[in-house]
Amino acid sequence: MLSLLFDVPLREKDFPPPIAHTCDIMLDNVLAAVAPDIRLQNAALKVLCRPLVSEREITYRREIIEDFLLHRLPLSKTKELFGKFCDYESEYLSRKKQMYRMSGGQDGTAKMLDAVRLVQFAADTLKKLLCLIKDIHSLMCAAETSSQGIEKIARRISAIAESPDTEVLLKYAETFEHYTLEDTVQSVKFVIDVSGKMSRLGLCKVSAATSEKPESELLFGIFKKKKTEMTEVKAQFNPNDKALIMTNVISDIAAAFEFVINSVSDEFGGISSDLMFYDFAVKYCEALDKIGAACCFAEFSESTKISGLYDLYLLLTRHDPSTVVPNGFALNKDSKGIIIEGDNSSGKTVYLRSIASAYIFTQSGLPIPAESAQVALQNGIFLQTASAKNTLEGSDGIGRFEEEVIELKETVNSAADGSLALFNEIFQTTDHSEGAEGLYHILEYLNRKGARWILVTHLKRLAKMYSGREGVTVLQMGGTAKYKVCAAGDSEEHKG
Amino acid sequence: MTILNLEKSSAGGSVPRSVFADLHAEKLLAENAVKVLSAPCRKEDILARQEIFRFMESEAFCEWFGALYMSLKLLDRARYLTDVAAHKVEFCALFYEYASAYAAAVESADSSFDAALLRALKRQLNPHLQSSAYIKERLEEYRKLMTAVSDVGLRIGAGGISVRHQSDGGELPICDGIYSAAENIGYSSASVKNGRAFRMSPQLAEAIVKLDSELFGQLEELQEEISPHIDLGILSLLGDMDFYFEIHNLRKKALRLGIPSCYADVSDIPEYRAEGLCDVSLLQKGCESIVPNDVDLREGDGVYFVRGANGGGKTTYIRAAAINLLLFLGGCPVFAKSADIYPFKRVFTHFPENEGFSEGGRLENEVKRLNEAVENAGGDSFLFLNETFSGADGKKGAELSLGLMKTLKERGAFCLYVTLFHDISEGDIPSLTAVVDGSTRTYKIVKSRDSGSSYAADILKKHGLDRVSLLGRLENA
Repeated sequence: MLSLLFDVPLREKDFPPPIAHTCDIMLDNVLAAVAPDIRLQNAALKVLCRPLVSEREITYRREIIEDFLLHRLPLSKTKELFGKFCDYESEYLSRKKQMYRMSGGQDGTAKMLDAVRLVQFAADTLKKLLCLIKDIHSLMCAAETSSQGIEKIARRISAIAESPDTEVLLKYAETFEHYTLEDTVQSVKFVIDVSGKMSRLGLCKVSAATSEKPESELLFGIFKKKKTEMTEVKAQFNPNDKALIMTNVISDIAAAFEFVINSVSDEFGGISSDLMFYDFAVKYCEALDKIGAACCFAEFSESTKISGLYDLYLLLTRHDPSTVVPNGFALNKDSKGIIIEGDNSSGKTVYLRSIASAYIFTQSGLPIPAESAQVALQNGIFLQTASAKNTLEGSDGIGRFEEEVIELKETVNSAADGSLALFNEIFQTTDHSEGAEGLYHILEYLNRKGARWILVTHLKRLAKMYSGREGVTVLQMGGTAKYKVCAAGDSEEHKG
Repeated sequence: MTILNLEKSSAGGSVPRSVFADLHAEKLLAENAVKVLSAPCRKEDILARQEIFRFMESEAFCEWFGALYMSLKLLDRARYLTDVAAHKVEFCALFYEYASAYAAAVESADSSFDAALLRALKRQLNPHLQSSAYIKERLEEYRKLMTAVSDVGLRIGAGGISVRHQSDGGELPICDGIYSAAENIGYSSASVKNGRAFRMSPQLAEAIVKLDSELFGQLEELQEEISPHIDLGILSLLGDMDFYFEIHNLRKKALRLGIPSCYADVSDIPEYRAEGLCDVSLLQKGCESIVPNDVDLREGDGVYFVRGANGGGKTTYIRAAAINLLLFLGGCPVFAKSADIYPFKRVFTHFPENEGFSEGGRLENEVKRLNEAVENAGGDSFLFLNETFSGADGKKGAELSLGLMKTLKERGAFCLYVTLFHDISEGDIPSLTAVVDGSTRTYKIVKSRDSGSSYAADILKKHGLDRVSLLGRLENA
């Protein structure tokens, strides 16, 4: 199956765990602000939840986005044409289903006529699909794309469109598009199998009734002996013979057409949904451009360093985007974790959200709203935000703290070397001292597994436990300026 | 042909069908096995069958035995199909399969394993092996003729169907053309299979025969030559093999549940001694834990009452003894650690299940039936009685029971008799008793002569996220 999302298709086990709780970082609102079409939002969310970990794969997507952004290939026309693969296949299947629904319990002749109708549908669909491939070929030949992804599709399309075998298939499809049993002679052959049955039944030729005359010379069986005289015996009439034989040989041809239809649809059908992501990506870039926001593709690096990072949600939903305060962010390759402290409404959560979005968008192949960015790719991104939702809905009598523990257990189980866990005010619902103590051991465990973390917290004790610890940075929100982040020691409070 | 007995009609006696019904053996074993077990063997046959069962423990033998079984099944199926062939074309094609299956089955039956019954089989097989070689030779010619008539072409038009040798001089069917073109543009159809085959009508078959009348004539001649050499007597081995497989599988099933089995030694003097004997009929009820018991009955000491509390395992005990006796007499392994058993010729059971309303009253019927059994009983007889005479009052029942057991003892017969009558202790017939330990039934039958941490820490610990659990994870990683 060809894909515009992956250069090398990944197996499920090769993906890092999918990102859960994307709503907690307002990702659904961001998607809705970019594209009102719910199908586009779903397509984008599906991709964003499975971030990539390979620079090559991310570059593969970025190149395609650029091809579409620069109109090297018209996106809407491409979407329209690729969308037809699935449309034609589902139209065929629905006609087939409808036909079967209407034909239950019919006699042999009626079944034969159904088989004729089915082969006509299948031939018609196959012809449409092959013509569609030729149309896409024309579109792609005229485009001057430079991305590997589009080129790969174009090469495959070209190979099919220009193959003489495609012409053969078209010819077959045209033969059966208006196939009829009237005024025609069918040449069929079969082999008598070990149980005396007719096997390998196959229709070899359909000719006009006028040519129904015996041939003078035929090859005989496996011995290939030449017979000098024509040998032909007319069978006594049996009403079922013709129906049985013709139903089966025609159905086999319909099945062969269906095989090609399915193969073509399987190969190209997925591109239509891939294009939805690129439609979203183009709209996203245009939305940032429209509000004059900074936008860049992050460079790949061992350490993360982002300057002028904006929170996407605020940027895309605020009436006046210029009031959104950018922040810088750095996570060195030796860093083990970051603790972010600050007063209520100081912007801690927004800051964490902008960091999470930056990683997720970068690793999905999208640009991020920042002045400049270098990003170290993370082998798994985990989000956990304190939420009272489940407690209000009730969940098997367990408390909110235990819910958090259960959720955290999934992260602890899944996090591996190179993962990044982002926590927002978790363990606030138990005794702070006990919470800090428990969380400390969990964060230590994550570090020992090679994972890193960013924690927004009110648990003062935790910050004290990490005070002076190498590799762990404590940041303060709103310490030097409103909504601005600074090192904990630089804040006014600390200075005071 | 047989692989059950060394000689024809070598059965040592017969076991009435009611015995199997009483013991619920019909639910445990298939009909074929019950039929074989109904004819107790002589010592020689017991030993010969034990030899086959011993062989069945080896993979190589099972492989051969399974292959022979399969080839016989194929022969049986081919025979059936030729019998029901709808027309000459079908018959001609199926005859080849039938004759080939016969030759293959005969050859499969010829093994290199050395066992008394297999040597006997080989003697029966020798003439068939010669026929098999002849059949194979003639079938080579038959196959060539069949191949010559097998490629058929049809022209189907408004005027009907004409049969010819092959349509369009070997042109590819359109279907194949489509798959081939698809393959060339990258869609492999290797996984697409069309293995369907259809029966042809007699009219079509007749036209095919007419088209190649000469070749079909030759095929018929060959059939006439081959048929007299096919002896379907070999198919009787199927039933014999069903018996061996049935018992072998029962043994494997028991083994999986830890129930031991062994080949009982064939005793020359009347006795029934077994250690750790199990009632395998409990397997059919889904019991996975079966309590073993010992049996020790000897010449002159072979008549016992079995007594004890309800639900203590008395009936299970005599059923275990009876089923294993039948298995032994059929040359099968018995479900015990070890055993020495005499090849009894008569086995009788009396397990009344309901009160009944037959003419003459229940007690009267019981007495009549038992009298018949006792009359025929001798040193080669074993009787298993379960709550017989329970329709009589305590005193009368005990009196009848003691009288019956005394007679049996005098005749040298063996008997295990489950009873609830108390007054039998007045007699001199010994008893076996179900052991009860306090109020617990042991199902053993023996001879009687009469737990301060915080909330958060607890939750974390519960989910394996406390410090100790996390350290443990790291150590185990």
